[in-house]
Formats: sequence, structure tokens, C-alpha cells
Amino acid sequence: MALRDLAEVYETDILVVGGGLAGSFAAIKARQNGVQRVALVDKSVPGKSGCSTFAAGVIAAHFPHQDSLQQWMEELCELGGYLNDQAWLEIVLTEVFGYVEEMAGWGVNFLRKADGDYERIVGRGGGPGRGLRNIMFHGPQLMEPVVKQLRLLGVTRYDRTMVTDLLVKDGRVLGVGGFNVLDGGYRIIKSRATILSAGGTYSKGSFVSHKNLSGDAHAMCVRAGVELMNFDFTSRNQSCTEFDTEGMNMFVALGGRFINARGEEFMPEYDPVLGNRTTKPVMAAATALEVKAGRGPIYMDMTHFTPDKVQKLRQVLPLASLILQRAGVMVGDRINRKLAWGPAGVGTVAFGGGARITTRCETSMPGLYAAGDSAARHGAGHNEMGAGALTWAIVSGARAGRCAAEDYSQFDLEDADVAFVEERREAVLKPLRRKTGVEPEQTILAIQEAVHPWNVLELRHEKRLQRALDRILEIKELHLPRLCAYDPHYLILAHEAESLAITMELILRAGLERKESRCNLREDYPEIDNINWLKWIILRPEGKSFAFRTMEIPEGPVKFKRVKRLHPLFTAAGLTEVGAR
Amino acid sequence: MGIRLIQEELCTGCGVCVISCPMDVIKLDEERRKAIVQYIRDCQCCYMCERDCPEDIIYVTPDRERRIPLAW
Ligand SMILES: Cc1cc2nc3c(=O)[nH]c(=O)nc-3n(C[C@H](O)[C@H](O)[C@H](O)COP(=O)(O)OP(=O)(O)OC[C@H]3O[C@@H](n4cnc5c(N)ncnc54)[C@H](O)[C@@H]3O)c2cc1C
Ligand code: SF4
Ligand code: SF4
Repeated sequence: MALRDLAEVYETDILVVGGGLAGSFAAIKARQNGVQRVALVDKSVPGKSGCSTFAAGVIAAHFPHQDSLQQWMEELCELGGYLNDQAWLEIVLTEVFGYVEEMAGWGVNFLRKADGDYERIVGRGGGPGRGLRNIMFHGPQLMEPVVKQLRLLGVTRYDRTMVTDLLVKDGRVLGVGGFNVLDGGYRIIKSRATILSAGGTYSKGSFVSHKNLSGDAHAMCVRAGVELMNFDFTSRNQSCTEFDTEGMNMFVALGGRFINARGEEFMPEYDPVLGNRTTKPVMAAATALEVKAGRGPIYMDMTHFTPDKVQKLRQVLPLASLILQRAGVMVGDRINRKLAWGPAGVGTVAFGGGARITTRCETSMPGLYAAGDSAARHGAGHNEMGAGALTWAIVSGARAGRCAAEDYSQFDLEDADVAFVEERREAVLKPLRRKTGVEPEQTILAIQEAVHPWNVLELRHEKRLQRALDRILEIKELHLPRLCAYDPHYLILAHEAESLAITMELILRAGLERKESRCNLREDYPEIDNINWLKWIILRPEGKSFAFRTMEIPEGPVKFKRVKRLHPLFTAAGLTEVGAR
Repeated sequence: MGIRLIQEELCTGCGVCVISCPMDVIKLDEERRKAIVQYIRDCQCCYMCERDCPEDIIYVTPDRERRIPLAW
């Protein structure tokens, strides 16, 4: 049997998996660096899908002609708990401005002052005397000119194709396998070099726009044996829990306040310097500690906004404003009630786990590069770096494209083994043939029930992490082999359920390994331990299990002290003696 | 609730919303040449279809269709 008997087979020189901002930049840079055949495959449609399309209007951009690199590095290392890869951080900060200018040339309308210069705003993680600044854009207007560049540069597109597998032979990636989500046909795309940029996941939680992101890239890496890291840091964005919206960065930038059930503004108690503009880890922990103390639920209060602030919100966040308007919250130039608020989900969007990459975006497997949310956010440490996720997507995407262009001619186009493809094709399409079985949405709900409660990943304890992990392993065993799909649309959901289960396993396992409190509070290890834990946790998939190892943080220009102390958030919450070990 | 096709009779069957929907919620009924909402439970209230429909006949409500377990 030949591959063509099993699948539609295509080939290219460089293949990009996922067309968000990272993948689009990768494809554009590969073409600009002279590669003739560049292809982009997406489970949906670039410019319509992924977080980049719906991002909330802010990009952390260091301006080399205006800002001090040392000051930005110091602030970001402090926010990142000194777990940053400083080599990557410096690259991200020094390279982003050039790409911002390039995007402006493509037609991205960044907000400008009257004199034509970029308007800059202080976002989360910023404050008086601090250097960090964000530039702003109008919602979906970001991706449209970028996708137009793909067309102008002749990038081949395979839309509506869900990639499920990296095709590996002799320790090298030879392309990908997946299925056409419209007709369920199996597809293979052979490539010399492959760039993984299929985003991360937010556990399909309550936040607009990422419901088709389920950590597919993480699951592909696990199946192929690619090294991963930073899954011990979980991205915990928060949002309105009544309906799906976006916009927290802008809400707090404009003066939005976190309020508890008693109507008290509590964030300054936990973060006296940054207050409501605090970092995501502090926000996640502080809200959980308020709930633990019986002062939940939590709200976001913007009822004090003046008309000019509401106007600004409409300008920068057209989508969130439309949603707030339809929900009856934004009326004319007023915000008329507070919003029920809480964690949007758990996962790897914007920050946290992904493939471990070099500063050339190479993964541990030859022929495979990674960028954006599919890669670990190396420069960020344990913080999501204000609005730095798009910054990371741009710089890592562009680097991945450029480095793959430099390397691809070393790799030949080769066929994967027929037996391997046959086995994966059978497994991938199997849910379509089951007449009875588990609906994928049952599985997704079960996974969310296991990991969403605040005392699993927001406020951690070994016992609760272990219990959630046991439940995920049970779901893997009981649900995954029985998933059934009524049609190719449900086949997407079946594979999303599987990816989500695998990603949550990574998060819980890595979470158990980090025996200290840092961005994620551990009641059983309440200290920030800069003596033993200035380390990254790296996972290597081995068969059905994982091998863990730690790696000391390499020295960089920003120095850190090796001390151990009770996490200040426990002190702020009045919990001076937290959970016995 | 998510997507509502509010004036089906005005749908020209242009298919723009089918391409715009990231979640594969909308299909084209080839026989009637009209858009149909096939998978409403997957609507993520992202407003892409409403924004792109040239006839302006789609209205998206912010109420989500699927239950999501909350943290508190
Ligand atoms: C609502 C929201 C607002 C945000 N606002 C901001 C902000 O203001 N500033 C900021 O810096 N960051 C923000 N972030 C984070 C930021 O948007 C993301 O970190 C960033 O866009 C990631 O880019 P990416 O290219 O890696 O992935 P994405 O943009 O998520 O793109 C991933 C692409 O991969 C495709 N894909 C997924 N799985 C597969 C598969 N199996 N096969 C093929 N294709 C696949 C998807 O369809 C998608 O097109 C926000 C995130 C969200 C959810
Ligand atoms: S709102 Fe978004 S997800 Fe819902 S149907 Fe329209 S485009 Fe699709
Ligand atoms: S975009 Fe509007 S007119 Fe075109 S098919 Fe969809 S609903 Fe009908």
C-alpha cells in the first residue's frame, strides 16, 4: 500500500501549522527569505480563528529609541519571578519594534497621537515610575492586513484541515497528518521543515474567541515525543462569568476595579504597588484567597467610568463594547452595573507551557520549529508580561520562519512509514465509525469540572492536584477510547477533547513537581524558594508517561538573590502559617 | 443563544458567513441557497458572521449556549 491509498497527499518546503499571528509571521518571513513553497494549514480560517484575531487591543512594545532596555528587562524579570530566559527576553524586546513598523506598513492601524506617533498606555504590570508601555490596535483589524500579506506573498493555504499528528521517522519530523473538517477525509502534508504555531488552550472556558483552541499542538508534541516545558505555570486569565467577553487589560488600564462580595476593593491589599493593574498570577491568587476567606464572589466594577473612558473603550475594544451594550451593561456613555467576574479557564494561552525551543525556535526534534502559544513563553518567566503574548507571537513567529528558511534545504522530502500512517489514520477517524459512545462534549465538561474549581490550580495543594490528575487519567481511560462523532464536525470536538485531556495532564503533573509557591500558590509549600526552585521544569514524553528534569536558570544581565521567604500573598491574606506539609 | 438568523428571507446564500465562522457553526443549504445554523451549541459568540454578512441579517446575542463549570 502507498501513502496515496490512505490519504490526500500534498508537499511543500516549509509547512506552518496554525495561522494566528505567530504562524502568519512565520509564513511571511519564510517567503521573504526566499523559500518558494511555503504552506499554511489551519483547522479553521486564518484571520477568523485563534486568539490573535480576537485579541484585546494591546501589544507590549519596547521602543529602542525611547525606552531603557535594562529597565524593561529588570521590570519583566521581577514580574517573571526571575524564571525568565533572559536571552529570549532581550531578543523579544529588541526585535518587536521593527515588526510593529512593518505591520503598520501593511495597514495595521495602531492608535496614534495627534503628531502621528504611537499612542502608548500603561497596562497590567505597569505603574508609576515604571517603563512598561503598550501600543493599541482595533480588535480584528490586527489580523486582516497580516492575512492579506499571506495572499500577496503566495503562501499556499490548506484551511479547515485539523492537524492531529506530526509524522516522525528516525527522530525527524517529515510533515503532518490530519483531516478535512468538512468531509472527514484524511490528509497528509509532507514538508522539509515544519513550524508548529497552532496556539494553546484556555480549556474552552468563558472567554470570547478561543473555544476551538484545545492544546492540539501540545498533544501533537506528546504523541511525537517532543520536549515541553513551563506547564507548571498555568495561564489564568479572568473575565466576565455571565457572558463571554474580552478586554480585562483595557478595563483595568482605564481604572476598572476588582470588588469582593462586600463591595470592597481588595487588590491594593495584595499588590500595594500595582493595585488593580496587578499581574495575572497575583490577580488569580488574590481572587482565590478572597473566595477562600468567604468574601466571594468577585466582580469587576467600571460603574465610575467617565464618558471619555467609555468612549476610549468603544474605540479600542469595539467587540467588547458591542457585547457589553447587548448585555445591557454599557448604556450610552455609562457602565451601569458591575460584572460577575472570575477565572476564564486554565491553560496555556498567552503564557505557560509549550514546546521547549532554542533562540532559533528549534524544538528538540530536528525539522520541527515552534512559535507563539504552541511554544513555551521562554522570555516571560512566571508572568504573562502585561500584553506581551502578542509580542511573543510576533517575534517567535518571525524567527521561526527565518530560521526554518535558513535550514530547510538540509532536510529531504521523505515519506512517513505506511504502517505508521495507517495506524494513525485508523485512530483519528475511528470516532466516526462508533455508533454508540461518549459525546465529546461530555468529555470536555468532565475535564472542565475537574480543573476549573479555584482550589485546584489557582490555590494549589498536592492532595487536590493529585485528585484532579487521577480524574483526568480516569477520563483518558474511560472516555477517550469511546468517543463518538456523528459527523466530521463532531470529529473536531472528539480530537479537541483528547488534546484537552492531554494538556490538563501536563499541567497537573508539572504542577505537582513544583514544590514551592510562586506564580501558583501552594498551600502545602507556601514559600517562594529562590534557593532550590530557580529552575525550569522540562518534560520529555516517554511512551505513555513522562520523564521530568529541572534546569537551572542561566545567568543574564539581570541578577537575582537566592533567598527563601513566605509568599507575600499569604502574608497579605493574613495566613502566616499556611497548611502543614 | 449565540447566533440568530433574523431575516432568513433576505439571505442571498452568498456563503460569506460560512467562511467567516471559525467554529464551523454555519452551513449553506445548497438547495434553498440559504445559510443554516447547524451547530448552534458551538457558537462562541464571536460576532464574526454578523460583522461580515453583507446583507446585515445576522444578530449575535451574548448569551452562551453551553454550560461552562465556573471556578466559584
Ligand atoms: C480574548 C483574548 C484577548 C487577548 N488579548 C491580548 C492582548 O490584548 N494582548 C496580548 O498581547 N495578548 C492577548 N491575548 C493573548 C494572545 O492573543 C495570544 O497569546 C496570541 O494571539 C497567540 O498567537 P498564536 O499565533 O500563537 O495563536 P492563535 O492566534 O491562537 O492562533 C492559532 C491558530 O492555530 C489554528 N489551530 C489550532 N489548532 C489547530 C490544529 N489542530 N490544526 C490546524 N490549525 C490549528 C487555529 O485555528 C488558529 O488559527 C488575548 C487572548 C485572548 C483569548
Ligand atoms: S458568532 Fe462566531 S461562532 Fe457564532 S456563528 Fe457567528 S461566527 Fe460562528
Ligand atoms: S453572509 Fe448573510 S447573506 Fe450571505 S449566506 Fe450568510 S446570512 Fe446569507
